[in-house]
Amino acid sequence: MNNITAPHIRTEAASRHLTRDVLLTTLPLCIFSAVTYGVRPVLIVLFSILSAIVSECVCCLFRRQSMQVIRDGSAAVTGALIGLVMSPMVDYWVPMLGAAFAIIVVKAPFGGYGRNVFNPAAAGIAVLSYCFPQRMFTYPIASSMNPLPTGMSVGDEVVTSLSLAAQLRADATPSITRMQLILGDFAGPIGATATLLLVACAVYLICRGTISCWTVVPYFATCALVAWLFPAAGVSRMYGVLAQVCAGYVLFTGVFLINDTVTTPRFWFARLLYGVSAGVLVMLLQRIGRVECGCCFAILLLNSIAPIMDRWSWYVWRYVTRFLRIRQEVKAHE
Amino acid sequence: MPLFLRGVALPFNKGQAPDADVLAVSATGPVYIPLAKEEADAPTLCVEENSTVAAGQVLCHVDRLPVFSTIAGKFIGTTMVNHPLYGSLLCAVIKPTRSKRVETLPPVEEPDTDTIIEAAAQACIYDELDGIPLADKLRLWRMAENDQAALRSILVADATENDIYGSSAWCILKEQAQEALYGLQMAARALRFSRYHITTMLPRNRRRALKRLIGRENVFTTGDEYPVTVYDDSRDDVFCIGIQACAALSAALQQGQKHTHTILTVAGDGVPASRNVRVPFGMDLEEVLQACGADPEATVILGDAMTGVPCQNTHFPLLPGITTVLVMQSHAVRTPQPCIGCGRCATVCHAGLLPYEIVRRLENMHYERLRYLSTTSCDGCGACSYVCPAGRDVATQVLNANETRGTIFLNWGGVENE
Repeated sequence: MNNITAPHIRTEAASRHLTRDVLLTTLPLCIFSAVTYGVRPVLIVLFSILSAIVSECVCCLFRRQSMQVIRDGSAAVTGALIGLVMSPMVDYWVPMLGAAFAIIVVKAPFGGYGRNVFNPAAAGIAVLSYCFPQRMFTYPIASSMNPLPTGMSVGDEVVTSLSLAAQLRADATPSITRMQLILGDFAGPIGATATLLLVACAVYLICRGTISCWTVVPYFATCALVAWLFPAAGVSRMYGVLAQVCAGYVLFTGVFLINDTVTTPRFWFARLLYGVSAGVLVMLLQRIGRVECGCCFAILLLNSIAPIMDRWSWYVWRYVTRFLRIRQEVKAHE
Repeated sequence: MPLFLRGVALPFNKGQAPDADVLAVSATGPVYIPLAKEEADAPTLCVEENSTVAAGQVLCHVDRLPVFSTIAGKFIGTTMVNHPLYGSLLCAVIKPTRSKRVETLPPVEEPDTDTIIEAAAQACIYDELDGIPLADKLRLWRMAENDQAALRSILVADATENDIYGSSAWCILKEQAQEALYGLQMAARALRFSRYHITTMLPRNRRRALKRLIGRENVFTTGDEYPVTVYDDSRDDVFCIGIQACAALSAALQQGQKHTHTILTVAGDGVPASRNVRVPFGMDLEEVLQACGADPEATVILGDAMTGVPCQNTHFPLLPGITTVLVMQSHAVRTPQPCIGCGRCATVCHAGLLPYEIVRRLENMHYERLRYLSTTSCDGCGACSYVCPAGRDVATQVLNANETRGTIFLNWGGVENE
């Protein structure tokens, strides 16, 4: 009894509830993809999750830790996020490899959930995009009439197309209408094309308190501003903004990758700075990067400075408020 | 007023206690009146051993202030008592008898600054917010005549009770609202403040009834966040005293009554129903718990659910500064997990600190960094621990950091003596 410390009552919220919320939001994205492409995308996500969980178990064995750790759901979230940015026609082993890399190389050596410096999912995606760009960035044309085969590899019979992001990078004029953009009826990664669903996921997660609007809103505002200031060639300015923000990875990054609680700043002002800098960097790397998922590299880069950003923004904010308070008191006494 | 209102919305679990009548519990066992911290400092007593004393009869004087018996009974002698909050205390033991004799002071006809403070000192009124004598507070805050600062100052009677269980202040507002307002008015007069009000967060229907009773301008409603930081919507200096102390001041000035009793909330899942009880100071806590039907196996927490101190032994006297006693059934303690960086502790911290960063620095033994993190601003409200999804004792760690910052090397022994 002596070790009981105040407060004697705690909130019901637990770490696993946060990851559960994120996993829950990936469900509608999978369903959307299943409706468009058949069962294959769902299997890709499931295999990815499985690989992440098995990798976590292996790491637990090596660290002589209890297997109970996987109950926090963080490995499943990493696996799900890697699965969701794959092309629907990717081979199953690709996301599995990415998820295993994320857990074994990026997360476990630092001490597991809560101690990792870099976002494991972003690192997994970044490695895959550099190792297998051909497999990752070849997308089938969205059609609910012809579901993809569920075999290990998809043959040449599937009609493929460049993604919207690749078209914009190549200064081509996309043939996708605005309505198609909003409804997600275009070629792209499994869970990153359903624009409306992703926005709904973001709203749900903000309402649940799982992610912070201090990051999400500045991120999207900055992305839209950059897209408006530097429009893509061959399209109107407004269409360019919509297309660049909705083009696959930018929206997905804004909802999931920049909101990984472990690797982002915690203080609200630092979160705001993080969102703005992520927006600028993501748009920059999307435009000039070698691969079309430049956002993962932007996130990894920002992860490395997030703790410093967190502390220094707090120092600045503390001194500014103190200065303002002193000035106010001096005024009151005059 | 901070730029962003912080704090956490707590679930209210006050039950029927705020609406039920206050249960008067009289002592059947001995009552302990603290006299000094150590036996060597024992003051000279005005009464002899085994003599009969009236309630309010002066036993001795400590620092020129009277110490009196809170019940009528027989003065047996003195003994050392161990109190979980104040440590060992030398106490006078009064055994209750059938006598109902009460000693009072002469009422004050036309109270002015000095007579009000003197009456508070003679009636030995303690502020229930912190257990400090009201007279000391009034002397400290008293403004000089024609001091411009008095115009920017406001005296607030704190009746917020924003804890999960506590409701004793709401009981005072239900039963003695006008007396409490008079006491507050007199305290403001003693301080030469022209502005005063009662700050509360009562439910809407009771708030309306209170405003009808004592006037809209005398009631300020604060937000539901814990802890309360806004007692007034202006930017003026706020001085807080407890509502029970206000009611006691009114009784002392009008009827000459001494402050012998307090209202205490006994709540938690270890009692059949939450109750507010009126008990004399110095009464054994065990007796109060028995009167409320508390489960003897349950854990007793002295104070509210957010900051209370658990106590193993319940045989100690009730002293000023405590308005809530919780009786909690033992529950499984969650194993702390690594910080997942959700940042909720920083969001709810009303002092604007970075609790997670302080804990990280403490765990990594970066003690020299702690002084940049303003750990001294922490008042230990416990909101950060409450919201932590990883179940970590953040508040305790921040308080530890506050104690050890920069001096950890001295605590390792030998260094300070060299």
